[in-house]
Amino acid sequence: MNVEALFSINQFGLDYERLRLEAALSNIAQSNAVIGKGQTPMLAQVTATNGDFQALVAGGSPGAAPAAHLGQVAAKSRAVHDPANPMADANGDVHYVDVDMATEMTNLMSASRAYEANVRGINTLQEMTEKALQIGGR
Amino acid sequence: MNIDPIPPLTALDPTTSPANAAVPAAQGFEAMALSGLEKVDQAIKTSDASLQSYAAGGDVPVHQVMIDMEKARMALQTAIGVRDHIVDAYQEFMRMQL
Repeated sequence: MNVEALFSINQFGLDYERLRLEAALSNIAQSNAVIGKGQTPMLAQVTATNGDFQALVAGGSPGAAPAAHLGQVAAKSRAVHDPANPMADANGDVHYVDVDMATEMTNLMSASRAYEANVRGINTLQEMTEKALQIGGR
Repeated sequence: MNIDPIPPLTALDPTTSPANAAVPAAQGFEAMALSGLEKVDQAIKTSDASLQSYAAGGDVPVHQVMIDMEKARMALQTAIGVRDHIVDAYQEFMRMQL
């Protein structure tokens, strides 16, 4: 496997963790925003990857690098009884997206740790390459 | 009692010499050095472009800028390492007593 492929794998890891952070951020941000009438509650999620990551890891060409992207999945809503709110429905309920804060916080932590691990990996790769360049040096 | 006959020797495959097959047409040292330098230059240009795009507020993640710059640095250091070895070898020849 050449260095380019290693860089591609690493970059995919960094991209993926950054997207997980984005998803958690957008979910936390919308946790207390009222859903308008006729809108469906949606949660952000890193949905799918294009390309074959396993093939890339197995030493495929960096050109076939997969790309993670941010998507939306349908979510549950939670209703809060608040007849004074202008957004309330006929029953006097206001609807919010049901964001589980514990899950989002766990996602934040794990994305941050995995990002660090990827950075550590690329630094190690670079250190090893520098060491290799010292072979035979005087 | 049945004894298996000794099988006749099979002819050896004609030797395929991978050394001869895989070697591309010899390319001059100058062309090799030039193509290496062009690769280094390309890496530096790529890192420059992504850095400019990031500085201009483009949709480029920071890690991509850093990776591009790291690639350029590694390419340059490899080129410098190769240069050092070649200069060493050249000086070795120059010191040779004939």
